[in-house]
Amino acid sequence: MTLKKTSIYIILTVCLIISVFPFFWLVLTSLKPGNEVLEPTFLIMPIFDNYVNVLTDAKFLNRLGNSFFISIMTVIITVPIGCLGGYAFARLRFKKKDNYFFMLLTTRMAPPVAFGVPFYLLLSNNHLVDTYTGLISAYVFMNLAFCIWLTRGFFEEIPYELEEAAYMDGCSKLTSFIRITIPLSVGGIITTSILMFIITWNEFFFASILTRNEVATFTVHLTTFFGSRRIDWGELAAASTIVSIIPIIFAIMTRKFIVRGFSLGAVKNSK
Amino acid sequence: MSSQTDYQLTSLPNNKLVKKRRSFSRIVKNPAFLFLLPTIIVFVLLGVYPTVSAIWTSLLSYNLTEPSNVEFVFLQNYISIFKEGRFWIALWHSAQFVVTGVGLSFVIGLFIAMLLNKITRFKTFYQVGFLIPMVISPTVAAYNFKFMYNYNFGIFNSLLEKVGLERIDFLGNSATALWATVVIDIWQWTPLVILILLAGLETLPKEPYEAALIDGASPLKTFFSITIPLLKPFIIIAILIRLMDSLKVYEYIQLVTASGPGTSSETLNTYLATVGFNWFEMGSGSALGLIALNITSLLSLFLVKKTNMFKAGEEH
Repeated sequence: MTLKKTSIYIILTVCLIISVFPFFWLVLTSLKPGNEVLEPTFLIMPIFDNYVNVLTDAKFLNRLGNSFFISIMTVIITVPIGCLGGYAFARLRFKKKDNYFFMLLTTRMAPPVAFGVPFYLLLSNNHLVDTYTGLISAYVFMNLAFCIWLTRGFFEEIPYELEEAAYMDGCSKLTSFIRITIPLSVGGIITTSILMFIITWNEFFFASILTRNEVATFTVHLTTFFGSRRIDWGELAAASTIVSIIPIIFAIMTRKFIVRGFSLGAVKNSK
Repeated sequence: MSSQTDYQLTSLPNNKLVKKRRSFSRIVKNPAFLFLLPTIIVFVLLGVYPTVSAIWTSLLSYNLTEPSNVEFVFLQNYISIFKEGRFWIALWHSAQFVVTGVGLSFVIGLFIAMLLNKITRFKTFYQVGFLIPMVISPTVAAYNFKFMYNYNFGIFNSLLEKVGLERIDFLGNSATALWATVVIDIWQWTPLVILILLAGLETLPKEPYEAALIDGASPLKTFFSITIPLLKPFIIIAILIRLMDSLKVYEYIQLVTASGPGTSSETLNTYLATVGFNWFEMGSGSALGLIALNITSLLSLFLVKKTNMFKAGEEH
C-alpha cells in the first residue's frame, strides 16, 4: 500500500471513529455501574445492572410493546394503500399526474409540527387521543407519500412487456398488478416496509402530543427519565441502546437500499 | 359531433350537466381512480380536512383551557404573530440552523465520500459504520448528546479539561446552545450525504479524468471542473433532502435545550409547539402551523421544480 492510500485509510478511520463515538459512548455508559456513570472514564468491568433494571420495568416493556405494535400496524395498513397508489403513478394514465405527485411531495416536506394542532383537534374531537387508532392514523398519513414514492420506483423497473403480455391474455389491470407486478417487486416492497418501520419506530413528535399513557411509545417513555427525581443516566443509556438495536439491524439488512429509501428514490442503489 | 354542437346551442345548461356526469363516470371507471381511491380517502380525511379546519381555527381566538370562550377574530392571530419579535427571532434561528446544518454536513460529507471512493478494501465496512448514526432515533441522539454536553460530567468537557482548556457550558450559554443542537443534526445526517454522494461518485465515467491527467491538470482543477459538474445531480439531491429534513428538526432542540436558555435556541418548530401545546392556543397555533407549512413547502417546491428531480412515471 502506498503512503497516499495509507493516509486515506487513516483519515477515514478517524472520521468513522468520530461518527460512531457517540453511540459507542452510549453503550459504554449503559454498561457502567451506578457510581461510575458520571465519571468520564472508560469501562473497567461491564455490568448489566442497568439492563436488568430497565428490562424488568413493566412500564418500559409496555411502551416498547406499544412502539412495536404501532409501527407494525402502520406498515401493514400503509403498504397495500401505498402500493396501489405507487402503481397508479408508475403505470396508469390520468390527468395532471405531475401535479398530484407534487401534492404528495408537500406532505413529505412539511414539518410534522405544522400538523400538530390540527391533528390534535381532529383526534380530540373524535375522542381518539391516546388510542392506537389515533396515533396509527397520523403515522399512516405521514408515511403514505413515502411509500407511494418508493414503490413507484420499484414498479417502474419491472419490464412493461410482462404486464402487457398479461393484458393480452385478458387480465385486468388489478389482476396483472396482483399476479405480475407484486411478486416481481417483493424485494422492493419489503425494503420499503422496513424503512417505514424504522421511521415510525423512531418518531417522537406525534407520539408526544397524541398519547398520554395508554399507548405511549418508547420515545415518549425516554422523556420520563427527566422527571422530578434524579436523572438515572445509566438506565436511560441502557433503554436507548435497547431501542436502537432494531433499527441498526434493519439498516444493515437493507443497506443496499437505504440510500435509495432516504433519498426518496432519487438515488438508485449503488453496489 | 355536429349534432352534439346543435344540441349544445339549444340547451346549454342541461348539456353541461350531462357532460359533467359523463366525465365523472369516466373518472370513476378509470382504473387509476380505483388504484388511487384508498390514497385519496386517507389524504382527504387526514390531510385536506385537518388543513381546512386549521384555516378556520386560525381565525379564532381559541384556548383549549377555556373551551367556552371561543371567538371569531379574523386575521388577528396572524397580525399578532407577525408583530411579535419572538416569531421573527425563531425564524432567524431556523434559518441559521438550516444553513449551517446543511452547509457543514455537505462539505464534510463530500470530503468523506471522495475518500471512500478512492478505496476498495473494507469499503463496505466503512459504509455500514456510517449508517449507524442515521437510523438511531433522534430522541435517543438528542438525549445522548445532552449527556455528553453536560457541564459537570459530560465527556466533551472532560476532554476540554484534559487538553488544558476551560469547561464550556454548551447548553446553558445562549451563545452556544443553538450551535450545540446543530452539531447533533450534522452528526446524524452527514452519513446520508456521504452515501448519496458516494453512489454518485461510483457512476462517474473514467475518461474525463484520464484526459485531465494527460493535460496535466492539477487535482484541485480536476475536482472543480470535472467532479463537481458531473456530480451535480447527486449534489442537488443531497442538499434537497438535507434541507427538507433540517426544516423539520424538532427533537434536537426541544429535548436538548428546550429552546433555552430563555428563547436563545428557539426555532419556528419549537415555537409552534410551545404555542400549541404549552399555551394551548389553538388559534395562534393553527395560524403558525399554516405559516410554517407555507414557508417550507414553497421553499422545497421551488427547489424541486427548479431541479426537476421527482417526476411521475411514464404513461402506458
